[in-house]
Amino acid sequence: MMILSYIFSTITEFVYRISEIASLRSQMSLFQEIASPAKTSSFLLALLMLTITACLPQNLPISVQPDDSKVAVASLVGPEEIMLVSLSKSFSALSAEDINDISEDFAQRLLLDRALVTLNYQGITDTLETIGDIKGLYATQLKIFDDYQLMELAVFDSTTSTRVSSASVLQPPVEIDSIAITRVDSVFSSIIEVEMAFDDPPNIDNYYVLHIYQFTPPDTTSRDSTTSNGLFFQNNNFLIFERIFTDRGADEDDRIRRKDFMSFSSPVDSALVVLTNIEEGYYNFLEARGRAGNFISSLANEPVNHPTNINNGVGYFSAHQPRAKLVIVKDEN
Amino acid sequence: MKKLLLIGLFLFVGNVQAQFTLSGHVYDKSDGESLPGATLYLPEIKSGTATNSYGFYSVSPSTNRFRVQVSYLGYQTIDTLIILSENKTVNFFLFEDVGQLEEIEVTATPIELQEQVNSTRMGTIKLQPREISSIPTLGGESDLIKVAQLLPGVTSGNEGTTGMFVRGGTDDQNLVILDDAVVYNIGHLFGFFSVFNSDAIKNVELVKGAFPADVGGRLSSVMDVRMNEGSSQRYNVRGGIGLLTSRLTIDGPIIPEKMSFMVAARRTYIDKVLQTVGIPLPYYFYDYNAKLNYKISENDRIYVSTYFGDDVLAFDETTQTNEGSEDLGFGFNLGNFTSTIRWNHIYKNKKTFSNITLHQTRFKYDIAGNFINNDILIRSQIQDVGLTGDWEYFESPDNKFVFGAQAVSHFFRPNVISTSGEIGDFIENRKGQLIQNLEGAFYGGNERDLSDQLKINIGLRYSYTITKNKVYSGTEPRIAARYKFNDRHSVKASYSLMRQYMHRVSSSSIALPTDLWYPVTESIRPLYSHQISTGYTRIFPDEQVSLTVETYYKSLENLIEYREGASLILNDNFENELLAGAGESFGLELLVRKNSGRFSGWASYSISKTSRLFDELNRGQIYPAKYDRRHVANIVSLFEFNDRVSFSAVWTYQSGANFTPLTGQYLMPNSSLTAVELIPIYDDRNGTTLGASHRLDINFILKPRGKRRFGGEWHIGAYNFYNRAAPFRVDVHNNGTAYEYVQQGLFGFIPSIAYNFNFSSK
Repeated sequence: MMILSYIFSTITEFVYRISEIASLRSQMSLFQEIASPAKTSSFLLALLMLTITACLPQNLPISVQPDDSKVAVASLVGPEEIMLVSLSKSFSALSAEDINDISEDFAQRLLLDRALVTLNYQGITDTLETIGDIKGLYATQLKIFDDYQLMELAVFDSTTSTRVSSASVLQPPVEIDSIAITRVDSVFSSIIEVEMAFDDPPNIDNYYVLHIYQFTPPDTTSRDSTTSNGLFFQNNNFLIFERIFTDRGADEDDRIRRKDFMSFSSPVDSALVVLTNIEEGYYNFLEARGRAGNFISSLANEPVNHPTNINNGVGYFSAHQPRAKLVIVKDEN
Repeated sequence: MKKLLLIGLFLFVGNVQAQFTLSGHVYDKSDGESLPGATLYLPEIKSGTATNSYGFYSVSPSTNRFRVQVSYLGYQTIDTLIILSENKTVNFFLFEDVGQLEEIEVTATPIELQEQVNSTRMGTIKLQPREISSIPTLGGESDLIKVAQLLPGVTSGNEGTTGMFVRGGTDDQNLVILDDAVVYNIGHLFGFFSVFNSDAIKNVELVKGAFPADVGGRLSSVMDVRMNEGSSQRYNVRGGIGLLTSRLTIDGPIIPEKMSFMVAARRTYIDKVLQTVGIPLPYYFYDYNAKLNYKISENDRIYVSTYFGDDVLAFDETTQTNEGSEDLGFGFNLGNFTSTIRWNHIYKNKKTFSNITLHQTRFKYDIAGNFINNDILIRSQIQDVGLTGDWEYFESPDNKFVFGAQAVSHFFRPNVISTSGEIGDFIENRKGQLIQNLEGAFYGGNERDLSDQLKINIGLRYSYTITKNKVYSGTEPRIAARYKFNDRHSVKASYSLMRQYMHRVSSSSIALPTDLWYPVTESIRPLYSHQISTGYTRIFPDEQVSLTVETYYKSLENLIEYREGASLILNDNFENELLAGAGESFGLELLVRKNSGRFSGWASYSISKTSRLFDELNRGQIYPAKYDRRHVANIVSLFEFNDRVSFSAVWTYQSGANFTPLTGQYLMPNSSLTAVELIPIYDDRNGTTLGASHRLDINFILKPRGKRRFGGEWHIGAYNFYNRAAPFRVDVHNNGTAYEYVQQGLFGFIPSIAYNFNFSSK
């Protein structure tokens, strides 16, 4: 904007000076006529547009080698100890400019539906199966479910003869045992204060991601302080808050206490709060995601490469288990 | 260690005993301003000296009867016989060489050219006000930083900005001082224009290698900018009306020959112009320079100078609603304030010159916003108060000592947050963490001729900084040597170690209002560099041309980079965002320069390679620096057609900067499982080199006929004459049928016109 203002000012001043140099009355009178208050704004606007189009240099072509297609992995452990893994293919930067450019057809072509996906843990090898006719999503119910067990993922994509692998340590779930959500009166309308506490697993560094959703229930019932992981997977929730954090702020008694503010405009007075204990690597992935999503950083900073734990692929394989609570929002008054 | 240093230095005190000393100042005859860097050559003994930063010289030759030739670029040479029967003070007044369009008849090697062969200095370039004001720049605004970017070894950042990257260094490794006070922010308007008003500038020296012992504090360069002192004989009024700014400078005597002053002011006025036609542009910048100098006696002189300037953005809007009016405001105010008091003293032996400087500088930014009854103010600032003492001892024309001490106290207070209204419930008020560091140095050096051919300049600097819970210190040896084959060519070599105790917190290549400086701490170690350079200097007296070829190798340690996507705004703990690494740079620079005559200018070429290594960036692999421009060539030409019309042109070519393009992407459900996100995949850091850029800027200067007390001149020029994009980033662009990579440029053809005027009282 500053540059446009500058170019704009340059050209208008140039017109002034040309008039002075030449001292041609006709030009001056023409300019004065143009400069009448009624016409000046539109004249300057037209001049600005002319300047922008005429004086901006043409873009130059450049050859950049696009990235080869790779297998992209995402995962989580859902309700009923089901491990979910999604598989797709990465694609060239020249295929789409943003998410809105991706057509349903193109997205379907990216999903890998003929992969052999296996999971090894505690001497057990599970083969993950596709879920119904949903392409690219594989699942299995874990037979043993111990905290911190090592889980090794192996994928063979027969269409491209590509093998990828990864490993993750299953993080124990963490339950929020104290939470209060209060609406705060403010000129910044619809603000809520969320105050919560939970026990941090001791003697180990822990990393968390917290999600808070405006909850729109699938039916007319709403419950308070109900552990309801099933609700988490319903797609009628609207995310209003996401924050990653570590246990560095934990008390001496290994309690973590948080207070957050966020906007809230749900038609019903309830919110879904989901806490997930995640691996450090996945925390770093989400942190990179947050950094990359910053508008200012996208303009001014170096690009952010997302870390990956996928050998020969991209994305992140993480064995984590979200825990959710549905909470009634109280009025401060 | 100190004893060794002293012993080492004074071993070089020779047995040459001068009988008497000739000393004094060299001045401009027309206005009495001193001329730093003027050369005095004693042909009988084939030796000479140059005036120091204050125009002072001292020679104690082995003979009492000798000729002395006093010369300064753009002035007529004085050649006179001196007979000494006692210590003598002689002030030389040089006439300006104005209007001399005929090529000078060369009867001997011009002294200033000869000095280039004789000197041990390498990587040092001086710029004259005439060059700065004549060379075309963006928008027709005279800009010394943009001119400095045309020198070999200096590459620019993004097009149009004042960023300087010297011999593989970063932008914050340049020490820019104005009358001995550090200028922390050298750019107005996000760095597109420099803070220096060219009318207030007397001379500029850029040192990028072979650093003498008296300079330090940064790894890559020292730019020493001196303000005009003001004429001691007449009143001068200078000014200009440009497309962007108007400026006015007044100088003259307060007490003739004793006390003079200079004041200069500059301001953008587009906001005012647009306001008259109802278009709000809530931005402007301004700066002021002022200087007073008082000649207490022949041996004592006081200088007081100050600079202050700000960039101001003040957007304010009131909206009428059913419930009344609502105010919405946003703005920032950032700028420098420097002030200096200096005392020059010449000792009774006439061989010793001292300068004691008390200086302070402050850079701060305020970002303010208001919404209804809520206000927020974010402020960061750095303030320095320092004292410097420099001594020069002129033992003989062949033997000079320098020594001194410097101490400066830095006060940093980043991210002060003040709120009022309900916003205070969500954003905590913070006083900001006050960090106070003391930085200092002791130094000593000796420059002497060991023989007719061999001259050396050795020095040792001991620098330190005291920060909370930690003291950092270290020696900084400097050595430079010159071997002269004959009066026309010589070879030179140098080594210098530099240490830097602060850095700029900015992860961006453009100057943002949120940039601030931050010191070393217990966990952030000082930066340091080793630089070795070699050079060859050849002069062509008949053509008044000099040729310099230099090579260098520089290693940089404890460099600072930021984590990818580092967030610095409102971040009270920068240290978590910082990474330490290393870098190296090597290259060859060539400069052909012609300083006088109808046609003047320079041509420069440099080839260099700069790389970085950080464990946590680019998977721990070496990667090229962002502004590792392999080839840079500049042709700067100034041609005077006649006494009314002159023309200047700059053609510049630069290999492209490096960029990290988006090469791939993939879909991934977000962690909240509410959407699918597009995750970018980038190439190796700085893995793609942008296309080369080249540009022609031109400028015509039209002057009135004849000499008048009131003079005016028109500058009519154009930036980027053939409208070629200078790529600064790669984007994915839809050409209508498919996506393609394109390189975007920032500025196209921009015409400019300015009117400069001057008036002298006699």
